Amino acid sequence: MVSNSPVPASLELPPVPAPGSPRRLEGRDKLTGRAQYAGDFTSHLTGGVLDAAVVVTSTQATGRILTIDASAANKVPGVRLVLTHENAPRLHAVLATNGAEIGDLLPLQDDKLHYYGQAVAVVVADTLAAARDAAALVHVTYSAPAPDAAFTLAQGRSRSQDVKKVGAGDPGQVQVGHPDKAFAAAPHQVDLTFDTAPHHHNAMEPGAIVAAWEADGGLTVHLPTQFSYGDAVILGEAFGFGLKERLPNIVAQVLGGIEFHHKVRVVSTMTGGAFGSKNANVHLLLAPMAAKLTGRPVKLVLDRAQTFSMMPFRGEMHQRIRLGADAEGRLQAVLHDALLAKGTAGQFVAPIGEATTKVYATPNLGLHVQAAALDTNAPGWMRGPGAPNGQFALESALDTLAYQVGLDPLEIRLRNYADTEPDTGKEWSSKALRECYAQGAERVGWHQRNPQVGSMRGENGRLLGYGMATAIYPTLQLPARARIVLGADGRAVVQTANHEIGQGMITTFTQLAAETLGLPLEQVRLEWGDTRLPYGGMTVGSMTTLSGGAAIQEAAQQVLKTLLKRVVADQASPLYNLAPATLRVENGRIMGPGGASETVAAAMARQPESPITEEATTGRTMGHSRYGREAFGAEFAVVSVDPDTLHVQVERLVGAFAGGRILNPLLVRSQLMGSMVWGLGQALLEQTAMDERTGHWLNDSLGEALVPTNADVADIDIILIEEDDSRGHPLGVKGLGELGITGVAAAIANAIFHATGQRITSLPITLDKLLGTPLPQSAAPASNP
Amino acid sequence: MRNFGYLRAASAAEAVQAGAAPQVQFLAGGTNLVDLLKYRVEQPAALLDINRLPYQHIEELPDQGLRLGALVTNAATAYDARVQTRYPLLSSAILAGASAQLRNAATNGGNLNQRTRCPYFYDVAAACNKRQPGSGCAAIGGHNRGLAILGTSESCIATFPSDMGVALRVLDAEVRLLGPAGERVVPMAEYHRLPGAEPWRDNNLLPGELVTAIDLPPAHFGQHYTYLKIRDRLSYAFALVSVAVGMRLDKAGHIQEARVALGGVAHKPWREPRAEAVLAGQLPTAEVFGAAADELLAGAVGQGENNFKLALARRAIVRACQQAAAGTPQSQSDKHIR
Repeated sequence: MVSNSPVPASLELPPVPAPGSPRRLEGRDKLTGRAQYAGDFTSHLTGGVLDAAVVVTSTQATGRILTIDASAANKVPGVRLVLTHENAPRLHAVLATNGAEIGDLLPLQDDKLHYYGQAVAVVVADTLAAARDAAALVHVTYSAPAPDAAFTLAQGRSRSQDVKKVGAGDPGQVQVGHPDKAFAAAPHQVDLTFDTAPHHHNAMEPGAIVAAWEADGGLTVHLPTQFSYGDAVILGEAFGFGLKERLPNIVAQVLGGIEFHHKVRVVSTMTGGAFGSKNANVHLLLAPMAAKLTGRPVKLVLDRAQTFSMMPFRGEMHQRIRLGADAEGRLQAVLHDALLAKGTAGQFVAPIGEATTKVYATPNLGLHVQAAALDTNAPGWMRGPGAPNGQFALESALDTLAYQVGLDPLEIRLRNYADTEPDTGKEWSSKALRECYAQGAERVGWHQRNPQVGSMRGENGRLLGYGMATAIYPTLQLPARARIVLGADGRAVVQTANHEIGQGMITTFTQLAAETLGLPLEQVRLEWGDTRLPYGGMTVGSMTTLSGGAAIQEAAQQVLKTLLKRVVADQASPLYNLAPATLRVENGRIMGPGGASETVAAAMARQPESPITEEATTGRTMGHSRYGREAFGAEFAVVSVDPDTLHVQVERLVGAFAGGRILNPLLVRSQLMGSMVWGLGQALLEQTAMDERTGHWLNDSLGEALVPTNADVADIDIILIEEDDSRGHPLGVKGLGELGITGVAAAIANAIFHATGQRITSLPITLDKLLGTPLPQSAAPASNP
Repeated sequence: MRNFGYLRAASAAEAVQAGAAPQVQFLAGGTNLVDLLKYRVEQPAALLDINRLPYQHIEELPDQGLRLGALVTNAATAYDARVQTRYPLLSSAILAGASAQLRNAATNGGNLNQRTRCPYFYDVAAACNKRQPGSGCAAIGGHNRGLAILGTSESCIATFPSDMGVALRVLDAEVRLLGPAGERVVPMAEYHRLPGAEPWRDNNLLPGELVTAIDLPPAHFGQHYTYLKIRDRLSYAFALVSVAVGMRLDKAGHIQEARVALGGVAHKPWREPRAEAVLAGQLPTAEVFGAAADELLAGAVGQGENNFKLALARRAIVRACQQAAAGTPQSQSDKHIR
């Protein structure tokens, strides 16, 4: 044998789902390849014809297109169209959701360049091979690039401007009390700056779309998306359908109970990962533009490199954290300054200070967010989206303060525990963060560690370190509508245009409807992701279950009510004349007092012409609440650092999360674990490298843009702490899709500090950053936890 | 991908004849070449499929050495019992590279002929003398974190990305070639080139020449060896720095012979006799290994982003020598550096 292959001591299988907690309903289809992704579409799904479209992107970031020579491309057999700004349909301005690039910059409308990798042509051909061949033959010439182009914050710092609103409308400027004065007067001060690298989502499935214009002038597109209605509105606006349904009004219409319908239909296919990247993308417009000119259905799939410039990413961020504390480590002032990169087109600025204003108690608080518009494609939503970076900075600074004051890092967090929401003073709807700290610390062995920095040794003299951080993510809810039809066969169809992006919506929604209706899971079917269905909202912000789930529960309760009324009024029912309040439905059977019962199917079968249809709209308050509503967690990392090569190995991650009611522990664990793996990647690996002279993303492949492999991923322990959050949300649930990532990078950075004494303030923490710094020489006795 | 012709060689003679034509490239495992076609870095008029040629076996040599057929896959080589027993360094180096899927397809000959991973070589819009002679080198002054610190030139700072090749260099392997003019044998030391003024020439192959086998001389490093690969992530990543070490110790623990080669730092696997001379006859200590490392890295120059490689390489060399001396080679299955 060349190498020893250790046999794991205990081979643990994933937890068996609790009763009523099914495994992923679409799992089998995904595993067997039957699940339909947009890239899988073939011509038999589009009426016998489906052309292939390939995008040609710019190799320069600024300046203008001088010429586009498509003559060679047009000669490739099978080529039907080379779409450029010279022949492209003129589009009407659109209002894109939350700062997406197309709100500012419609593709192929003029000769101006905004970034490297911008779409400059689309080639359509009978086959993908012909389209690819021809795309490489499109010859584009450019004017000289702008001499003052800026691709990084260092280059573009002079473009910095204050940002009033970040994310989906959170304040970019916050002041509570007198933070500057309080900081200056504080006996303990920490003042650190942090830099975090840009990185891309790299969902397994790239952006893809199938567009077909109908004979009646209507447009149907199939694509993986997080917001089918939003995409439909954008298409309707761009192609001049005379829509009045501009985006903000979708919500108004839903609240008014008006159905959204026009000639644009958007159908979400199964989605191979989205994480914030699949919404209002440039290719949403490109494929219908091409199909309009060819008069034939078109399929457009981005190649991997194109996903780096034609889809969003998490941009570069520079932060400064100042903490002022009294002698006992109680925060007197928290100041958070941030400078974020955005695109010259695209208004998105990540909500970086969201957590800073919510997580620790302090009488004086300042948040100052600036953004610099760089000559790159626009950053956008990405799991977190600002919190992992904000928390990396805040929690690293707090860790520094703890050592400065001489407090255990866990103790300083308890000492600054916020019993009410710091920026608003509101009471929390629920907050079991203390339990998270306690159980996480217990599980990781926090109190058994040697707290002295640089004191612990593992195998071969590796330096061991423990670190922790608080995880936080807001609990949000948007309006959503759901319809449930209980048919004559006793089966229910649930309809809502939300989206399965891998998070398990299909399973959770079906499970929720089945539970509420008292039907077995097999008797409930979910229809989703189609603008012909009721408005389901955006699949963003960890709020799918909160938004769509609430509507489904309410619709299901109404169906149940109608059903029970119907059976007690039905002389043929064994439940005739009983009081509805005395009935309950379980496993498809309606049961009354004294043993009277019948199945839902039997009851429904007696009136086959009258299915029960109910609709519900929820979330009218847009998530506003009289309570502070956040999900919290405590994340712990154990790292070992090789003293020679400075390779950092994350040995363990422990996350304890308080997430309200846990509907499906299996899916929730899977979400949290995926988030934590991403956090590990953000901490140690992920950075998209740019050529700072041209603005080109260089490592634009899955081989070169490093994400963790199995060998890099630690043992991950997840502890779920249930909370009663019924006063926060009708289901008592909180958003958990993103919580898991938010504290990981900070916990790992803090563990590296504990191991090495090095406070690395830039992400990712690659070994070159540790190499430049001396390691502790203390010959402390080896200690193996 | 540009359309290309496809030929399948029925015999070696036919292959070298047809392969000598310009614009014809040999296709073996294709794990690198097919990517290059897709990126349009390579645009041959024709591919000449050599996969059916009779270089499919690992054979004993009369001198107790081993002959690795050029078309044996990397996986089959790494897991061959003779290789594992007699050349564990080679097996280890192969298993440190790529992924199981790639190793199952990639061949030994192809491994020697893989191209650099310099990002600008793959970016057809960028200047790259290796891809397009005379166009310049965008990596100099650009994103060069992964690139060379030794043996660079003004026209190229690319690295040769192979792991297997680094072990072959330590083992003093010989590369057997067949060309239109017949057979010849080239030592690993002379197979790859430094970039100099002709960085488009990765190696000394002549037109039409085909690698038929790699000959391993009788083995000496079954006990004291290691392949230590330092990379940002532990699997499926190219080396920032890698170190192959083979050692023989006498009964008193002195180093009788030591060979050290570096990967990820130059246009070829990097070995330096002066460094090995420092080790000979010495007791294996960190100081001695450090002195050898300094010799091995003499003349190393950073390019900016990759300056850290100088310090990292020195540390990795010392650590690898310690692993080899102690008889505790780096595990390629656990992968963690312990």
